[in-house]
Amino acid sequence: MMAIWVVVVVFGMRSLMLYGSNAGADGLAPERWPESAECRRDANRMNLLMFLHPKCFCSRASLSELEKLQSHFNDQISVKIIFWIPDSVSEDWKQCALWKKVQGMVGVEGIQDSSGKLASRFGAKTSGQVVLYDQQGWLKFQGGVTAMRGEEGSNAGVEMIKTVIRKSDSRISSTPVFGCALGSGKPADI
Amino acid sequence: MENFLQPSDLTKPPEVQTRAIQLFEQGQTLLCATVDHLFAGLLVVEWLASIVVALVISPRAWEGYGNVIHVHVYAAIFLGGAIVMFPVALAWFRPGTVLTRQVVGAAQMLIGILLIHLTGGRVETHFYIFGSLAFLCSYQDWKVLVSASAIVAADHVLRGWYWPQSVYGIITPSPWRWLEHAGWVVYEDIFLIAAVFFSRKSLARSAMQHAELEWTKAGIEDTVAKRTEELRQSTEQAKALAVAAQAADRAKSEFLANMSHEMRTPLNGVLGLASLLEEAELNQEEKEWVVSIQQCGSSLLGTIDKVLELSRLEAGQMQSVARPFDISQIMEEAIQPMRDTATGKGIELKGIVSPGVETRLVGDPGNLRQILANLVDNAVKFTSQGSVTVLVDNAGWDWQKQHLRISVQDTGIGIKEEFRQMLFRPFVQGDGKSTRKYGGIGLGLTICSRLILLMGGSLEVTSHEGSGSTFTICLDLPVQQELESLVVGGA
Repeated sequence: MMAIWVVVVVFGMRSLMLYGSNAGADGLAPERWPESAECRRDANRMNLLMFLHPKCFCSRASLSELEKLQSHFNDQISVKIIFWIPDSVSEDWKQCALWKKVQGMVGVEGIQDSSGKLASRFGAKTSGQVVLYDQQGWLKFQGGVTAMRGEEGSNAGVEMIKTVIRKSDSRISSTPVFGCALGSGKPADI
Repeated sequence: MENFLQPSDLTKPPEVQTRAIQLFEQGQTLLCATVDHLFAGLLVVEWLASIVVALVISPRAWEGYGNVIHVHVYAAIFLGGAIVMFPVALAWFRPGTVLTRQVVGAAQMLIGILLIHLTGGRVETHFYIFGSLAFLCSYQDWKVLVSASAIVAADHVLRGWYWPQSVYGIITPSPWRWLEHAGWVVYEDIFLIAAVFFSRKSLARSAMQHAELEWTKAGIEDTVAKRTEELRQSTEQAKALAVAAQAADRAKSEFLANMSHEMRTPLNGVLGLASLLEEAELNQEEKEWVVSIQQCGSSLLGTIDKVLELSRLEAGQMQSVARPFDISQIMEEAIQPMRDTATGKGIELKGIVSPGVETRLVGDPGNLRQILANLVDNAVKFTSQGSVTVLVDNAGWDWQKQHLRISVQDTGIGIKEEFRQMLFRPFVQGDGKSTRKYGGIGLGLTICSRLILLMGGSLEVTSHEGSGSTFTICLDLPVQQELESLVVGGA
């Protein structure tokens, strides 16, 4: 009986860990800032965009990590949080808890991305996806800022972003993104 | 338990040590069973709480428009249930066992880890692990703390091995990074284990004191039981001896009575023949011989009568018969036979009844007459000058009873202190000199005291050598109201 209990618990814990460490689809952001995007680039600072699914629980951790990052590098990065809003959704998608939280963050601009156009333009496929462009519009980082699904705490993504901001490394860094899938933005995706 | 014994405890009796160990283990088992039940309830609450947490924080997982129930909800329900059910069942069916508390400890840690995961790895939720260790301290078993802490360490080691980013946030942490995390748990364990040690030591002291108390109590009870048994045996022996003594006494009395009877018969024959001989023609010398025969025979007959009477008293064959009488008349009848003797010795012999004494009483006049006559006889015998006074005095009233105090006072030779103590014992007299001078065999006072006891009264003596003696009878007798005859004593 004891052995069965141990096996069941270990199996359950392992499954939970596997789920938590299962990254979403990798995004593929353009190396150059797409100037045609309906999103203005700050030429004096680095530009950080985070794409969020309004209903995604995991994105709370991503937003929390970004908040900490932004508080350290407020004068060096321009932060925009882009909410993926598909067509024909109810108002609660637009007035979700994450949106309200972003509205309270200083120095952060919240953008509601109707039909997911911006997400598509920047190649974001998973909630929590972050892209970082330098002052010249070159892509420096793309990926997530959590270690697992919905897990707060130190993570490789934040560390890489800090390194990019401090050293202006010419290489493009990337990390896996943990969160809900954003979809194409059309009801046909359901 | 043995580890907590003081050096002084080892000098205590082995049964005390064994009992202390037994009490200590019983206390531990009871404590662990109680804590098992408490943890069973706590685990169920934690399970339900984890479900609520999952439903509130992460009810659904999304893929674009679509959504499904979040894996965390399933994990809370099924994994949480799996973690909780086994220890709860053990706590219910096998409380107080080592296995139960070890499984409960492990489950408490696992449910904590699950909660941390469900809340998104919040630092605040990690505090629950430390709280849980403090809860587990209630078992007072350091092994539970060690195994629970080992589970935390194992969680960090395994996750650090397979999913390092989930614990340390980076893909390639130091292989010893888990020690930093586990170190904080070990740090708390040090204090908790110390607390457990002191608590068990206190419990062991308490068990030892309780065992000593039980042992002392049992010893006292054993001693009391032994003494009670000894007392019972002694009482039975005393009863047996008393019965044997009474039987021997009765046998002696019967023997004396029989012997006295057997002696009286031929003696009466001797005295009768002496009376016949007295009427025959004898010379002066022969007449004196006959008189001597009669005197010696009468004396011997009197002695035999007294022995016979004492024997009947001791054998319980004497009865006190109650009938109406006049105390002044009895007193006079007791005095009268001694008047000539007293006058011959130049002694004043007088009887006085104090005013206020009710003379018409109910009692045994024969016995009372005999007692007074004996006392007066003794008083006259031992008095050479002065007086002998019989005084009947009123000592009070109580429920139609006359409390009499009858004293026989003389101005004779008195009684020595050492003889007064033994005066009422049979065959006890003064020294040999007085015996030779005054005669008697020492039964008169013994018979008097026995007869007074038979009547429910008492006899006391006060005396000073050379200045006379006073014998005092205290006796309660009913006052005559109507003629009645009652037997108030007997064998």
